[in-house]
Parts: sequence; C-alpha cells; structure tokens
Amino acid sequence: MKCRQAQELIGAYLYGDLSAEEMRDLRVHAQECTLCREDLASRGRIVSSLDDSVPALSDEERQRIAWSVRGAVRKEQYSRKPLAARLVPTFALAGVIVAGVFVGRYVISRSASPPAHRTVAKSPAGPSVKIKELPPADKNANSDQLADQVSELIQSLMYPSATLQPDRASASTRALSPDRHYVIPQENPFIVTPVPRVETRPAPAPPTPDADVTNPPKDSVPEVNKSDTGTDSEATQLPRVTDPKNAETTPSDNN
Amino acid sequence: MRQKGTVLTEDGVLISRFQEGEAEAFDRLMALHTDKVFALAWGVLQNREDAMDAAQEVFIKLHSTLPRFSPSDNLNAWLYRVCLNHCIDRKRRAKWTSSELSDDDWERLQGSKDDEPEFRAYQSEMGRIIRKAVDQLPERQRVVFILRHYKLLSINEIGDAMGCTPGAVKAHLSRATANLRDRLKGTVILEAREVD
Repeated sequence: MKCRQAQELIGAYLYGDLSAEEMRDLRVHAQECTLCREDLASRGRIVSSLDDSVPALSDEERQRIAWSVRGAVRKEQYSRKPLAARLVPTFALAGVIVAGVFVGRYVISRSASPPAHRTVAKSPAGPSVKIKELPPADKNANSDQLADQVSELIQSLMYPSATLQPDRASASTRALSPDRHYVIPQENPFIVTPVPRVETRPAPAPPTPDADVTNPPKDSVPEVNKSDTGTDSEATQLPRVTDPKNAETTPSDNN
Repeated sequence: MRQKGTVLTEDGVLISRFQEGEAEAFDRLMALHTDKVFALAWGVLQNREDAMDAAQEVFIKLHSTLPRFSPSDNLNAWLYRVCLNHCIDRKRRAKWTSSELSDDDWERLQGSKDDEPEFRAYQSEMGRIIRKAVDQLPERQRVVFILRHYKLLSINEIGDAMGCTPGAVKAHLSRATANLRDRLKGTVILEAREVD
C-alpha cells in the first residue's frame, strides 16, 4: 500500500468502515511509514476529542413534533377542498348573524313603540276628529318643531277621543284653540282645514211672562244641531252641521 | 409479515394500513422514526430547534408522499435522503450563520457534571474549536463526517441518501479528517498531545 492510498482510507479506518483486509494493509503501512503513522495519530486525536453523543428528544418534544405535523396535515387537507366548500361555513355564519340582527331590530321596535298603524286602522274616520289647530306655517320653523307638530297630529288621529288639555299642550300647540273644529281629509290627514265655528245665535225670543228666570237662555253654548229639540222655525234659521262630511265641504264650497 | 409472497417490514405493514385509510398508522410511523430523523437533522444543523422544525417538515412531506409508496420501498433510505437534502438546503439558506451550538448542546459537550471544572472547561473549549473547523468543511465532506461521527448512518446508508457509492463516501470521510487535521494544526488539540 502506498501513502496516497493509505491516506484515502484513514478516515474510514477511524470509524471502522474498512474491510478486514483493508485494515490489515493500512496497519502494516503505518508501521513502516512515519508520516502516515503520525497522520493516523493526529486524526485519531481530533476524532476522539469531539463528543459523539447526540441529544435525545424528550417525550414532550416528541409530542410537539407529532402535534405540529398533524396540524399541518389537517391544514393541507383543508386547503385542498374546493373554494365553495371552504366558504360554506363562512356564509352560514354570516347568514345567521344577519338574521339575528334583523330579528333583534324587529323585536326592539315592537317593544319600544305602540303599533300606530293598527290604532289608525281601528280609529274612526278622520272628519269626526276634533283636534287642535296647527299654527300657521312659519318659514323659519326648524324641522324639529315641524316633526313635533306632525307627531302630535298623528297622536290626535290615533286617539281621537282624547282631548288635549291646554296645560299639557306643547309649546307649538299652546296657542291653539281647543274648542275649534277642524276637518282632516281622509285622503291626506296632514292637511287640516279649519272649520269655521257655526255661531248659533238664537233669535230674540219674545219676552214671555212665563219665562223661567232661574234657567237663563244658553247663549254661551253653541247649538249645532237643533233638529231634535228645536222648533221648525229655528231649524230653518240654523245651518245643519250634523254630518261632518257636509261640514267639511261647506266652508270651502261656499267660497 | 408475509404478504403476497413478499416479507414486509413493520414499515411496510404500516404503509399499507395507511394506504387503506387507517390514519393511526401514520402516527405509528412517526413514533418509530422521529428520534432518528431528529438526530440526523441535528447532526447537519447543529441546533436543537432547527432540527425539530426540520423533522416536522420531513414528516409532513412523508404524509403527502406516502399514498404513492410501495410497501416494499425502503422508508429509511427515503427518510434519510429527504432529511439530508432538506437540512442541507436549510443550512445553505442560513449561510452557515446558525451553526453555533445551543446552550443544551454546549452543556452536553462539556462532559459529565462529575468532572473537574477545569477538565470540563478544557473539553468545552476543544469541542468548540473542532466544531468550528467542522463547520468550515466543504459541504459533502462535512455531511459525511457528521453522519459517521455521530453514528447516524452507515457508509451504505449515506451512499443511498447522498446518491454516491460507498467508496466515494469513504473518500469523503478521509478528506474530511485530513482537512480537519490541517485546520487544527497548531491548536491546543494537536500540540498538547504532541508535547505529551
């Protein structure tokens, strides 16, 4: 064996990877060659100085590797699914959320406000309603005041039997006269036409000696319908305003 | 185990079970090979966390490749080849910057805790010098030296994993030790023994 051939085998010799014949030939050459013998000794020191133990995994580290691999495998399998199949849970969740929002808003609105439309439907027709007169439209009135007026008007429509007391009236309606009649057309209840008060002034009755001084004539109370109790002569003098529909058309038509 | 006239190893049995839909067979395969793959990765990367990451990626690749395996294929050779290539690529990407040993590894290299502190310090210093020299070896020499020094693979297995003959592996190993000798000439490792 020559030196070059021996040096090619020293590395494998140190780790026992040579055949028996190769090992024997190398030993023989090293005994004869000082350079190769020193070379073999030097490499042997290096190899023996370097620890050859490998760090072992703990059980926890083995589990960590296994869990990471399983997680990555599941993720990979999920990504292989078609896009539509992956989006189904997302769309389902979004649908549930939207439906929940709508149901929640519906429940809240029902519990917070009275069912106005039902009351209006059950309420009597508009012309018989006695409401307050809206103040004349102010060009500078802000929208809040207007909204306030409209809401009160709607309240009056919804609860026609309720009379608005002056002390309970709002600032916008305080100046109205609660005793006046107004007509609300059915086709547009927001247009209110005041009905002029029919002044029923009784004819000067001839002084009768039988007059009851204890029951003075009711001058202050307007007699709208005298057909039931009044005489024929009185009926001819007083206008009949018993039907609100007639009353509605009377002032405007006459004009 | 005999199946259709061929003797299957435990790996072969687990591979065919996995291909039949038994997911637990893959877990068993992982448990059988995790230590070896980790050791191989640690040998190349010389870093515990990096080696664990590399082992994970090798098994993830195995899971996607296993359906195409034949039960008679050599799973060990495939694992070593894939692990080596993966670690070498990883090492190249890191540009050899992460070759420093971790604290645990240094503690291991410092020897037994029963040793004298001076001796442990001496061992630690020698180990650090040698490791630095190993890291500076050419790639194939370095890989072959580590695989053999830590007894991770045999000469034939290294040849299978690296795609070369056993004779070429022996030559790489001898050149690696010769290179280390040249690089460590004049250091305390060689001079101290020569004085003795």
